[in-house]
Amino acid sequence: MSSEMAISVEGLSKHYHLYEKPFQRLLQMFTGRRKQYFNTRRVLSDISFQIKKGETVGIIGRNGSGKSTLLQLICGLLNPSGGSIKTHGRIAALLELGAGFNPEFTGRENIYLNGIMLGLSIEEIDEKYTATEAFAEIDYIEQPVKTYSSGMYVRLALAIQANIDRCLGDQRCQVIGARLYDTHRNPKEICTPIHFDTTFSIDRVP
Amino acid sequence: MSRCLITRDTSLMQSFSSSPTSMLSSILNNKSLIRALILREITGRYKGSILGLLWSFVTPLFMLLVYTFFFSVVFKARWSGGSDSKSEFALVLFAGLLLFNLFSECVNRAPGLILSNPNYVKKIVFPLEILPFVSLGAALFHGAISLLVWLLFYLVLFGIPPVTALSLPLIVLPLSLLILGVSWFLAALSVYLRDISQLIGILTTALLFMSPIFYPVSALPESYHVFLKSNPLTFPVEMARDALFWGAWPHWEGLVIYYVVTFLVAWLGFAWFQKTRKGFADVI
Repeated sequence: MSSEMAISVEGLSKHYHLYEKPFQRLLQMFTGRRKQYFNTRRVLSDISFQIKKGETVGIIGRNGSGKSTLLQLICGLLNPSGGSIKTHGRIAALLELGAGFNPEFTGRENIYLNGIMLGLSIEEIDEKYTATEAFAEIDYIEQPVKTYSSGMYVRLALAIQANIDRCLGDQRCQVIGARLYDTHRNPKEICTPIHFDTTFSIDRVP
Repeated sequence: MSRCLITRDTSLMQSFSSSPTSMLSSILNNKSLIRALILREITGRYKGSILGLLWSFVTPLFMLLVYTFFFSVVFKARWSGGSDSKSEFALVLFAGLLLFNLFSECVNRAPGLILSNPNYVKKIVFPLEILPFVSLGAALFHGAISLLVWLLFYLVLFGIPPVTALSLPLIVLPLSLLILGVSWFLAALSVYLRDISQLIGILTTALLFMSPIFYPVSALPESYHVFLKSNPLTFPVEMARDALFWGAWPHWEGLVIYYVVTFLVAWLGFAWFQKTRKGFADVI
């Protein structure tokens, strides 16, 4: 695989197993193939694509066609049912912005906590702190984030994510997509996210 | 299910090793995250309150005062084999309770570790296996403050504590292994079996009375000793009391066995967690 490749997906498929009770998931793990406790719902089947470094890619599909599932698979949050995914570099999931935020803590504290969660070291965050704060454009950085407006919340979350090599964006990110794009073009900012937002369709298997 | 190979710097779905070395490396690899989360845990608890962190000092102080009053004035309890000192009972009791609280605080929270953090499972890539370290770390901090209060009381009432008190960390370490093992096991199991979180409160309360916290092992007839000794908390509680109050060094041979057993518990709990975590996202 060339070093130019950021993400490469081969023959990926995902079936969700639906269980009536959570406990059945555990039973299934131990009974193996002898008994089946779940119903299968096929969401993705045989998907292959490659994304080069620096590309902005979008994924288009109808509601429930598996866009988020694909992103979750790439992030490693879900197990693929078949196929393979290869990724290089650090990946941030914008699956839900501010997912790791603690509402009682200030913007500054959350920048550090979330940064660490995303795999940055304290030194790296220190280094990028000013830029992160500037990107977020929040005057209340020392206030608990529960007092933030939803727009401020999302901007702060995005500012943190922008420190990561690759961003996988989902939902609400249209709002901020434009901002990321600006930053991308603007050499003053240090953030250089390579973000995917939208461009190929998914085979939908009903 | 076919395997998929993903090369990246954070831990990944497929490669959940359950070896004892990965138990250790999950601490080392996530040092700063664990530290930040423990800090959040400790400061977060009192966030917004006026006394703030002082609460972790006031709470044990108040509890010890209550115990001292009740057991010396109201119940006039005497520790068997102890002296006539009025406050002795409360201090002996509290020494055992220190370790029990460490255990029960973590174990009571264990079923909620994964369940209360669905974002960590489904929305971000997060090393879930470190959550028991975080709750243990916070509990150890609060335990240390309680110990400080205990030492202050001892200093005022009896003078300098015995030198054997220095062996306390050697007793707390295997207890921590036990706590981690049980936490991993319960955290994972309760994802699939939601009844656990209801059950665990009852079990820890029962365990409080079934452990020699309010009484020494010797207070029970010989025939019950086997039953009491099979309780994994009996050994550390008795050892801690000996070390802190009675001035006796730990039973070294027993301590070595306890290390071996608790290490096995930790490892089994960890292995169970790593084995079953693949299904978390499916049912949360």
